[in-house]
Amino acid sequence: MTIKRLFIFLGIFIFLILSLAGCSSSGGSESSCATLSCLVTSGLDSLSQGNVTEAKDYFKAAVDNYPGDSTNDGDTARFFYAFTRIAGINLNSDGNSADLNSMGDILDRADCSAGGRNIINLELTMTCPGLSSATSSATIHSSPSALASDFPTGTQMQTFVYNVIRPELEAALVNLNGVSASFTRTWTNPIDSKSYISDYADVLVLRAAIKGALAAIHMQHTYNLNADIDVEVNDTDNTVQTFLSRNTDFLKLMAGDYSTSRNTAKTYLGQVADDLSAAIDKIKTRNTAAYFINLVDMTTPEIDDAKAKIASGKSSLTGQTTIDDRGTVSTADDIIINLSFFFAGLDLRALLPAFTGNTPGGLPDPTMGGIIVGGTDTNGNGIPDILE
Amino acid sequence: MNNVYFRLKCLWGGIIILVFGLGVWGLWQQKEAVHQPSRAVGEKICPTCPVVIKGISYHDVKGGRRAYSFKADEFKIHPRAFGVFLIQPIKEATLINAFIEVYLSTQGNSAQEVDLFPSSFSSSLTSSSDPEAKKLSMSGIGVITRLVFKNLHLNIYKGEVLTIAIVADEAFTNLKNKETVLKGFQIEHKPSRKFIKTRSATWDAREKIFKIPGEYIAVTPKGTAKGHGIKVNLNFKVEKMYS
Repeated sequence: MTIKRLFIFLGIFIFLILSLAGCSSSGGSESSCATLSCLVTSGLDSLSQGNVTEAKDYFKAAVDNYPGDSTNDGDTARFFYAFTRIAGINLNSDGNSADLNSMGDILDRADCSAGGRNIINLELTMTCPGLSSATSSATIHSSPSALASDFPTGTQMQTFVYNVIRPELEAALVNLNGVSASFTRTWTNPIDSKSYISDYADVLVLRAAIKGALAAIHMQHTYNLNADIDVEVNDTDNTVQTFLSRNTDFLKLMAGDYSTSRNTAKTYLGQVADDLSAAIDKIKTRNTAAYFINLVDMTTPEIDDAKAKIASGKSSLTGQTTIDDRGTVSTADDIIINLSFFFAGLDLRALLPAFTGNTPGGLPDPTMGGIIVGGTDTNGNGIPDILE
Repeated sequence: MNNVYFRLKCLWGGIIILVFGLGVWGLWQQKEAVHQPSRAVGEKICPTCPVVIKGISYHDVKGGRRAYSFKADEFKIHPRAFGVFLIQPIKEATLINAFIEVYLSTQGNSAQEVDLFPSSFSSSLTSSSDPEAKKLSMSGIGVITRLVFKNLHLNIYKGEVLTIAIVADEAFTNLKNKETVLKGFQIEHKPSRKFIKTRSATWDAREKIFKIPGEYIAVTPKGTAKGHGIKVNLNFKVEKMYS
């Protein structure tokens, strides 16, 4: 992967993360509703029409005005507010891109057009010459021209993700934690205009996705990811070797005590496994295509295999775990990992191979700091262990 | 006389009843035939598929000559699995036992214009520049995010001569960037009888090249070799993957 592609990939990832910054915009129409039921129904109507921003305003009003409501309407409001505050992006400029406190600031710094930033029918019409000529809300993929010279640096992006995105995700998590296990609601989604049922399994899956994103944000916070992104992206002759020589601290651990962030990330990932496993169990009790999320096409062995892998993934967070026995009786070819070393603080820069251009050399530590326990080439002699 | 008249009346009545009965029976049979299930007995249906087409083919003729064709035993649109989770409106299109033929001109560099995988076929179902038309086309189907081939055979001809034969167990075309990942991939250059096998390759639609980042086995009339990290174009020119 070339440096340019790496940054385009990072750009897409960051855009997706940034898109979670759903700073509320005021629609005003929610004030016409005097009851929780009206707010919820109006929110679902707006959502079915693809007007996510307006739907978010209704659900926000419902959650704010009826915070302790324990009815199904209250659960519906909390679930869909969490859902729409993630999907309902406010991309508009606040007129001050210097403080980097909104998604609009990032787009301003990428020289994106001011118009076309409202999501209507799941569509965006803004143009971003440095990122893309986006005509679709879900697409940042075209060949970019030059990224603006004042595009945020790696450190600025890290700070933005940690200080702006993380609180929004944590707030969505609070909404979801307030939804009761009896929640169920039929709603019409704007993608295929069909009605499906959402229930507590959907809550668990969405909660797992948010916790996974939060774990990633906490872990990136512990590393130096600084680079002048526009310089690196705009350098058409850039290679991994050049990039690493220009950014000598990239992927090193940040100085100071970041153990809280690492432990928080590990805790979140353990909870992701718990939530996904619980979601599978819940879906198995009502597995039909009438539900928004289901397992209908999956066989029992596939479902059991998924649950086993989730359990292995969780176990590997704290100790040595076989994650793939390759379907053989022998344990000699098993892939065994131990991710506890990663969460203890691993200098990833020290584990990188030397690069000539974009060509990597051998790994300095084939165990990746102790993470890879068995199953590959643990002594790094280029011959798989099972052949020795 | 009355007796004869009565018998004639009964005969006439019997004929009318017979004709009427035959008509009703015929209509009943026709109705039965209309409601006869078209699928074979015991065949599994796909309850979550908004579209299933058994036996599909497509031909593209340019300048009076064949340019592109594909056929498949089955085409279906169904929810895409994320892990084991299916999110109903997010779909993928699958072609089972797909056979593609691409005809390149013997003159010029027609390989630079070729779109090997018919990604436009499925994306055209839900794509439109008009937002209202797009919303309408998405209705009932949802968003198709990728095209999947199960058991793919792809033949590339220069003029009428078969030059490249490609086989893959599975292929996945990302409908956003048109990149196709092929699993269980084998590419054979027919004129030189050389072929390359690998577990995974990627068709870069922009560069018009197959990328094999991992290990591969090459077999030629001169012998066999192993390696990793190469690029192969539609003229079977092989280059190092990394500069």
